[in-house]
Amino acid sequence: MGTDAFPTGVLGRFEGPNTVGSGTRFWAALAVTVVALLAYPSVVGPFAAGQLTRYLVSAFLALSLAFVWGYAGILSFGQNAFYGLSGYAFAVVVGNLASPLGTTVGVGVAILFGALSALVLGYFMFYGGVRDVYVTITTLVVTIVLNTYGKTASQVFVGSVNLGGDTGVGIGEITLGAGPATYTLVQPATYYVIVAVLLATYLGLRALVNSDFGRVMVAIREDEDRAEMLGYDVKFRKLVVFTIGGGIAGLGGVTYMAWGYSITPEVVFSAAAAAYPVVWVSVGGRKTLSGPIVAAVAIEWLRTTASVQFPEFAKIGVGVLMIASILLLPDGVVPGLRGASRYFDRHGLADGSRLAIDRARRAVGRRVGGPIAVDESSEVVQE
Amino acid sequence: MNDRISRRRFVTAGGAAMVAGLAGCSSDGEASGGTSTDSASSGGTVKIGVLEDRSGTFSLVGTPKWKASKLAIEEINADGGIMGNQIELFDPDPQSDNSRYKQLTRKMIQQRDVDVLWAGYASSTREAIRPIIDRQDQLYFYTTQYEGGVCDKNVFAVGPTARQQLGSVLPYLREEYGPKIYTIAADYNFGQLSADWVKVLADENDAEVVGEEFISLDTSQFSSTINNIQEADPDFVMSMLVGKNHTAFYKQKASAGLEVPIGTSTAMAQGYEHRRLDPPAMENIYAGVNYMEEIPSTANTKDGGFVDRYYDMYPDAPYLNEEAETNYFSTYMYKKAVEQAGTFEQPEVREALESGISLGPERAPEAPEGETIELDGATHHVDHHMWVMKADAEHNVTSVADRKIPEQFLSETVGCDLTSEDEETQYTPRDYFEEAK
Amino acid sequence: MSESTGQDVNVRTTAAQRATGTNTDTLLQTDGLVKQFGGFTATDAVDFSVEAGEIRCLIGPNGAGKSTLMKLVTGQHAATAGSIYFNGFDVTDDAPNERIDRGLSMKFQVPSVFEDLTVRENLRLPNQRLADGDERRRRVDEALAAADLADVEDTRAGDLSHGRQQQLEIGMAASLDPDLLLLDEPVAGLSVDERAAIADRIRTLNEERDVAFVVIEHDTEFVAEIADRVTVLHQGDIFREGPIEEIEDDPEVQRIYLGTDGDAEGDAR
Repeated sequence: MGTDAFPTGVLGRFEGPNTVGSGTRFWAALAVTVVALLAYPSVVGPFAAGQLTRYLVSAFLALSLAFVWGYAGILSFGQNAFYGLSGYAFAVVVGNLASPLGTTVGVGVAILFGALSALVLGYFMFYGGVRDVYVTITTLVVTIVLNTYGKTASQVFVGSVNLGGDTGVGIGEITLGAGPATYTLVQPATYYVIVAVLLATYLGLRALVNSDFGRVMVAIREDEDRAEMLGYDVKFRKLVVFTIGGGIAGLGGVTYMAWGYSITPEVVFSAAAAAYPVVWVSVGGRKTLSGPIVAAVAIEWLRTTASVQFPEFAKIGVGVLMIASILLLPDGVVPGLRGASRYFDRHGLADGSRLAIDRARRAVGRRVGGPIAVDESSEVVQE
Repeated sequence: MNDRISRRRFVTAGGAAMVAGLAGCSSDGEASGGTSTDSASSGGTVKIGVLEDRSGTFSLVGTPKWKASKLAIEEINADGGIMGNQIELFDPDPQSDNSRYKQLTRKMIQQRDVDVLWAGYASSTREAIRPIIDRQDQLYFYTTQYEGGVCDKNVFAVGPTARQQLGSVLPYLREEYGPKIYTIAADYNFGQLSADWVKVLADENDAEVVGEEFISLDTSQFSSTINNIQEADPDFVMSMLVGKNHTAFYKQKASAGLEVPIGTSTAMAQGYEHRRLDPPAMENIYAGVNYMEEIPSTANTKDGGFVDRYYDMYPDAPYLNEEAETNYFSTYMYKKAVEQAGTFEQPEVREALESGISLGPERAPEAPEGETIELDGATHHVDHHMWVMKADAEHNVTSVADRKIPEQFLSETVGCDLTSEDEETQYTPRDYFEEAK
Repeated sequence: MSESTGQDVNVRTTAAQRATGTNTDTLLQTDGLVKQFGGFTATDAVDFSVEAGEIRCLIGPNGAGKSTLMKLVTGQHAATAGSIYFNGFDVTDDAPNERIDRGLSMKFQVPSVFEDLTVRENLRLPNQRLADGDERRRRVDEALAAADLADVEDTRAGDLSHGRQQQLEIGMAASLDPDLLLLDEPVAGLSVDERAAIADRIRTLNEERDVAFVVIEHDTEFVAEIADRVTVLHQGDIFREGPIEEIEDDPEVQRIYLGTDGDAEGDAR
């Protein structure tokens, strides 16, 4: 029966070969994590909850890149472009429409703007024949150009809203609704909303990447030409994937505004900012969804904390982490942990450790040279 | 299957680890624990937050601000504190990073519960944290010279505005040299708005802007700019260049033999180019400022004056710059307002500030003997004493003119009155002056 | 029945339902097809045609333009001039995936299966375009059996032997129910037994599912085993065409092989 035999029923849709974790234990663990996240603000107070909110916003950006890169092979430095454009779009709509209905509409408009920007850029790239590394370069250039333009656009008005140049745009309150039924979103409600939206996005993407569509995405990632010769319209599919990725980044932009209420070009469009999602996704495991989320939150938390004591080293540390992860755990931490977990499952904790140490000793001995006493009874381990 | 079991186990373990990690997390490595138990100051200490850049892009200009705040705070504490309460200072380094500013601002407000906050060098910093300030109704002093126009009930922008700075030096140069002006400005918000003010002031002083050039912050090559200036042959140049790369302009213009006088609001007073560059790079540069180390006010230069006290505390400091004085006097303004209000509660202190606070030279060394500076309650800005300081070929800096210049844009043109109506807006000259466009 | 649009559709028409244009006997027809790379003419006004249900072998010395011609047919190269008709439709300007919707399929010269996916997942990819659920599972099972890969369905495709990878790839190409299957050197580097298995596969597909073939191959015995007709390419144009017996004995053909163009046993291009 093979790999087609995943459990059917509701949860079956969310499991498959393209994501890590399945079965009752996994879903239970996920439920526990969600409950812990929801309990967090009550335990630690508003400031720490606000910090975590910021890191969860980064998770959207990470998911957006994991989707287009990990699953379709499009290494994009442009997710920040859509993220930032969406944040600006939200500020522009909120500033111009200045009403609860306007703000509510603004949420949708901003997300769509993120998706639309990706659609336009993707169209010109994929239908213009830009491939592989040139896609990466193009997306990076677009982001940097937005930074440069953004910083000089100090008296540029969209409607009544000044884009503000390097000082950016701010918004006042976020009040949603219409007519008499309005709701003002403040912390910690903002935190809960973002957790809920992140969970929904994660599950939605999980279902998508495990579906037929997701399998074709993976085929495109593995070998574009082969996928095309199986009859799949690769250009169109990449465009769809890239647009969805832009929409997810756009969702991130809206949540960023809900957290911070202001946006400047440097924070979203700088080359450094554009590089972080690549680090998060690489370290977390780019062919998974949970990996990038965990890595984004963990790395941002570590970086922010470390930068208090060691400001310069915090940035260097992120770079070192990226290099180390590529060398030691090229599939990322999450699959690496899974591999380690499988290894210890197969051999048991005690035996597994002993074998690992044996092999290491033998490997070192071989390098040092000379006859080594090899334990004849030790197993030949197969990976 | 083996795979599925181990995956489950991993994810369970990972989930547990994540929960444990998150639950124990305390974001800044300080054992500040859960909810803030610190209450607003009552009998004992008053809490002041000072967020100034001591590293990163703005470290050169941010460090003196921080030092001057500390100088004022130490003086006040040595003198018995504010209404008998010692000042407790929270001053983490925001590292010229606006994301960090946002985080630290929230920390100051939510965890430290500061009674008053000083924060930020760049306008982008101010604007990044202003939404947080406004939502939390935090009393906030912004002390850098800036483009002007912020009418916000929580913000006291007490540094000189572009209109005040340019308004001190431009009329002087027009009188001395003639009506034709060439503007060079950094190509970002502050530079563009300052250039607008040059046009407004030119119109008010019977002068004319014959050319305008905006230069990217990344540029350090000015040969074409220098050519353009020579071709335009203005009577004087107005320069609002900013940042490390733009310092090269002064060196290059000296090498090119460009001798036209240059009026500026940005050079010398903040980044002390007249000390860092070799003469005669800054020859004929006229800075219009409320303060720089060389101003000849008695309170500044006398024995035991402001300069002496600063270098006593910081003997290795390279320079005492413009914004440092603003940090210094605004700390005393706060003290005075608290004493007037009789409490540390922020709404009452704000009201006291809005009734108008005046400081003499002892606490505001920019003012000459017998004069004062005033905090204008309606606009939350300061009527400054402005100086026109000129550098000669040997980089000696002397004062050629000085007068008090009140804040004009918000009070007269816009009609911002925070004592009667709460606002949270920033106005620009183009909204009000045809000539600025 | 549904006509193919610019994008692939999820459940495709089967071969029987596919629309055909006029002249249904001629499956593939090129008309003055030219391909130039810079100054070099790789395909020189070629009129190449294949009948429905035929097994045609395409042979010729190295550099004759065989792979180029095949890529022009699939659409991986854009023609410099000339036209291509498939199943009666003018596909000259169609993208490769559009031609596949018309009933074309190919196996690459360099084996390209999805190495990190399992054998079953590889076969699922073409089949998920044509069927869902149980029907899809059945088709994949059949494809596994036909390619003799049922015992390794959960093995990573990159770990298979070369011969089994070739079988897998043919299986993937065949899963699309093509009218015409293009194979570029399917038996290069295979053992005698493996070659026999491939030949068997081709014949089975041809007889039981009416699939026409164009096979580029250098191995003359293999060609003799499967070919109905043989086309000899030389310097970008058709040199000879005819049944294998005629071509084998033709001295001109032997000369162009043994001439300055290179080795008769042909390396992979």
